[in-house]
Amino acid sequence: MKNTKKEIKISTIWCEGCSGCHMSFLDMDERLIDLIKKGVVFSASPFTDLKIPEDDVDIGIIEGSVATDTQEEEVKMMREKCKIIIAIGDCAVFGGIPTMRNYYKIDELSKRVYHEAESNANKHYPNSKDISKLLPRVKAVNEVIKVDYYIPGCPPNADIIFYILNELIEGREPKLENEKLTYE
Amino acid sequence: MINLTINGKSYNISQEQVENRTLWQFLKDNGYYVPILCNYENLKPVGRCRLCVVKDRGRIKTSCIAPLENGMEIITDDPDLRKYRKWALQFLFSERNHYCMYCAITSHCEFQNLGYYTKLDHFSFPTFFNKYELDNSHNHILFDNNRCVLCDRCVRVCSEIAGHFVLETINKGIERLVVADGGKKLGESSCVSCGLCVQVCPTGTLLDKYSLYLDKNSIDFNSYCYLCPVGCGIKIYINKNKDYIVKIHSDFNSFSNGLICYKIRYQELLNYRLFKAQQYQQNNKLNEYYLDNNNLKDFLYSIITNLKDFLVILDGTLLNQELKLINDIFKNNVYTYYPITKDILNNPDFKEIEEFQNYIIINVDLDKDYGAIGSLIKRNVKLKNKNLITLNLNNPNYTNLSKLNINNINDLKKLNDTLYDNFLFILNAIDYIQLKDDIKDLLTNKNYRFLILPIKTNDVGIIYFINNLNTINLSLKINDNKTIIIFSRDLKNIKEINLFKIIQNNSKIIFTLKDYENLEILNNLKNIKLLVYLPHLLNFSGNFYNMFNMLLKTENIFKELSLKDK
Ligand code: SF4
Ligand code: SF4
Ligand code: SF4
Repeated sequence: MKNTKKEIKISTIWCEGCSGCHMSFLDMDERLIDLIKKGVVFSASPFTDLKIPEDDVDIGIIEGSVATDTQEEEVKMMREKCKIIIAIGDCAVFGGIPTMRNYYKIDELSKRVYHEAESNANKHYPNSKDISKLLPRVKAVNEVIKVDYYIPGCPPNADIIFYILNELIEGREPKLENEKLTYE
Repeated sequence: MINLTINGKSYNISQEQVENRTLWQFLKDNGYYVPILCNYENLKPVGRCRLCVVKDRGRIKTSCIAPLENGMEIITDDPDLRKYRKWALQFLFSERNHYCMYCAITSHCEFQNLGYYTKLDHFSFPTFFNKYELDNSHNHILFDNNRCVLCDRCVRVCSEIAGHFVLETINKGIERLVVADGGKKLGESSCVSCGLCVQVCPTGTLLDKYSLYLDKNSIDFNSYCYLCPVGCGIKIYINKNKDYIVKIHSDFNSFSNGLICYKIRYQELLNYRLFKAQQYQQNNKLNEYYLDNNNLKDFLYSIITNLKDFLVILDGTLLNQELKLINDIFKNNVYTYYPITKDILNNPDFKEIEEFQNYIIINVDLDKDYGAIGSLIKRNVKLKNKNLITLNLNNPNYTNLSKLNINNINDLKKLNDTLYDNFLFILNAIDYIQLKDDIKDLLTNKNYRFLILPIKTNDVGIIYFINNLNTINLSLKINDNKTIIIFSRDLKNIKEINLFKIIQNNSKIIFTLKDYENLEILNNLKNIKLLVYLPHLLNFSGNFYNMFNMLLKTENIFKELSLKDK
């Protein structure tokens, strides 16, 4: 990929996560400009707010685990459109906090949330066709598609995200070890 | 003599060195790092986690349970081994909840560190979800089986080391579960709160409630527990800024080999936090002075010059330095309120205790007052098939283990006709003084020794430093004109023996520790002329002798923060 003239397209999506990983991504701050100077174009990403990436993306970044049918479609779409897929954050990498619901069946969960919860006044189960369906189990991204690189962390530090992207852009193989590898 | 090579380097090992050492221990002793999870200090290796795999002439071996053999060609690290270790670890990580971001021990977790060592950055298979109840029933320990990796360290330490036999596992395979007393909640079980299981747990399964999330970057000091005459070796962990104690562990490298009990592990930790909190409160009802050793001497002289008729009462809660000073100044006027016998100096040591075949415990609840000795006796009785006899004891942890429970000293006579020989009598100093002659009369053709348990921590120090110690009945000595000077960090005992009633009308000078229990007692005492606070032993470096006549040192863990005169 080492060709600083050619543009390198990066797209990101956010599945079942808290957006913390995207905040970390933006925390690269001025280093985002370094990346742009090296030819990076952020297509579908927090910069453009586009939801559907273009067809020829070089690096696709996925935050969050896969918890609904829509998210399942989205990560599959990312796989089709991106040459390299990076799972970013503990949710995308391992499943993370959203998998806590795997201890329960969906029925139990919905009943608790929409009918029994003290904070829920109208006891109404949302059933519009536009709402995504919950999958029976929340999954890590690599249970749905092939993932090329993993950046665990909750959220991963901006320095680590920059390191991985920069290595890839420079045509080197990134290595997550020592202080760069963390689960917290 | 055997020969073997490790990563190409050859070693000749004598037969003596081969025995009692597994391959993993040999590797460790020679500076080779081989990761391991299920092993801990001197617990018996069980080969459960399979992280310690090495290659021997191309074959994979679990080094923690592999004996040393002639001709071994060991490889400790290569890409294959890393791969196997990573697989073994992945299974453990993905079987239960290891999402570190909300775990109380993240960043100082042994298990997590192994993840980093193997560069585990994702799981190769879906995770397994089996929910276990969080057990919050214990006062000091939080027990979350959802993070257990089934290494069995806790089960082994609770039996092999601590001798309490509370923890065990039930079920098989992925459903295996650590439980207390066959399935009781920890708080309702026979657990005596020694905290050793928490100390050895490599995960966030067994947790100290007082150190949740506090343990990051803590610093540890070696010291000795000053709360009973055993004086177990301990490690005190304080936070980086040196303003609070995070946790207190036992020291497996000290003479006590990792033993510890609830007193220092939890009770003192809580008391000390209260003590610190109290330092911020102003409570100037009485004349209050704080004293450390530097100005104690002058202060004591200034007292004595103004006193005509006085009597000093002290106990073994004082350190050697303090005792020496008191002896120099108050000379022949020093009394203890309980008897002290020089025979304590003949006590068998830890090793010798373990060599006896028969133990007789008289009156003392070891779990409550001398925890480490209790551990020693219970584990020997249960694991090495020794015999226990109890006299006047109703703690089921002991009576259930014993061959014979008797309530009358005369029943000892029966033992003359048994096959048992070589007894160790375990009893406190007061009972020893009363019963030693009876025992001699009753047991005529047996060998026996005494393990005399001193009443307070530094009673041996009193033997050494107080020259003319008076242990006769105090009430005979006391008349209303005498000023009574009391030195004790723990006034509870003095209250219990009703001494305060006897001296209620006397004018009193009291040297003690400023803690809640003492303050409550002081509030109910009349005629206190002067109240002086002695330094807390976590804030003070000094020496004492334990019941095995060993000179031990307490460490001032906060050095620069120690108490100043107020
Ligand atoms: S026990 Fe260790 S590895 Fe498991 S969640 Fe806690 S910090 Fe992470
Ligand atoms: S605290 Fe001590 S007695 Fe209780 S379960 Fe743990 S090791 Fe056993
Ligand atoms: S509770 Fe801790 S020490 Fe006990 S088996 Fe589980 S992980 Fe090991």
